[in-house]
Amino acid sequence: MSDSGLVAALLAAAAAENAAVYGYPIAGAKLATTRDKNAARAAYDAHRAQVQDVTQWLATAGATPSPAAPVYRLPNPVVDNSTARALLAAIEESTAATYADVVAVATAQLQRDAALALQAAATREAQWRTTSVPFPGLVGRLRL
Amino acid sequence: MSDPLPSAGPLVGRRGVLRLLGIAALSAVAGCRSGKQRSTPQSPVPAATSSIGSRQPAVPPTPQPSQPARAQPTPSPLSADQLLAQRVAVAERALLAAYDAVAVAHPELAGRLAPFRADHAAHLHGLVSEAAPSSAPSSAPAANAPAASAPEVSAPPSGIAPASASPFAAGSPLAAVSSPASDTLLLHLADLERAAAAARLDDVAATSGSLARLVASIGGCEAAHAVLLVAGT
Repeated sequence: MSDSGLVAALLAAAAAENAAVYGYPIAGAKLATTRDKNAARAAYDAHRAQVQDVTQWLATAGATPSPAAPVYRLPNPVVDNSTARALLAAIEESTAATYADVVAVATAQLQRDAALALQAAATREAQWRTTSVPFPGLVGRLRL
Repeated sequence: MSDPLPSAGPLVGRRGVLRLLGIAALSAVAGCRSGKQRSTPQSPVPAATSSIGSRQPAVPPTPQPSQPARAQPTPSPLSADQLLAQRVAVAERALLAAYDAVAVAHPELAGRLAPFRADHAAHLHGLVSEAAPSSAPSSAPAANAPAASAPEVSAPPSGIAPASASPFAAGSPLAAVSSPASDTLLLHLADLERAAAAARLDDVAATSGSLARLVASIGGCEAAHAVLLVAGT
């Protein structure tokens, strides 16, 4: 539970949130329905708010996040509704993963806040997938 | 599809679902389990920070969480992490039973609910793996080691198949009980999932490291279930 471990986890969360803020508008433009576009807009706002929250958590831990990159490399081209949803699901899974890592090393209110942020990301991830995954934030990391 | 239970909300709980289904016997079992779950929510917490990492290598003689957790002077045969994993496992089994009960009352929902149920079966499997005393967390194949050390929570992996896990045969007297509309039951399951996700937030506070990560992820899945269950109703 070292401070450096916590700062590293929070820095990763900040980076993932910045990537989410970058990716959401790109994918949102390709979503098919107004309902999904509205959901994407709400999620975009949620991620922007999370950037602020994580920045605050880092400040409390005595650190500042790296600035957002101007451009991020997308895992796959976003060309239509399904590739857009896939990108959004991947974005949510990656933010959930960083919050899982924060939960592992944080304590008290910060640990709870990170667990709650994981739940919010997992819920959005499931909505983009239209199905749930058993271990959001641990996809590909858990060997059972 | 207005909310048929405006004030009951998430407090209805699993017993509420079971009562709705008219399954008195299972309801009694459920009461036992949720009572057990409720009776020890905080007791392992103070011990957590001091006991983590000092897992007992000995095979625990009994998987009864409440008694040793409360007796402060007597060292528990299970570590705080193992007790927490067991407590969450009890909650996951209760959710599995709730899904089974709904699938029995409304067989037409069984297919739709199967993926949700499978997630909880996976949670149980993951918790058993994590709580195995002497195996490295989340690295060893989980099927064998936990079976020897934690008999109470080791059975479920084999219960993943919905049909065999259902405690009731088709055509049992339960089928004669008039049951509520399927939408109502889906709302109740969503309430249970929401309450479970909230409980996981408390559970993570009792631990750290890989178990905290696992429990937080389970809570994420449950939060997602709560939304997905009512998405199509």
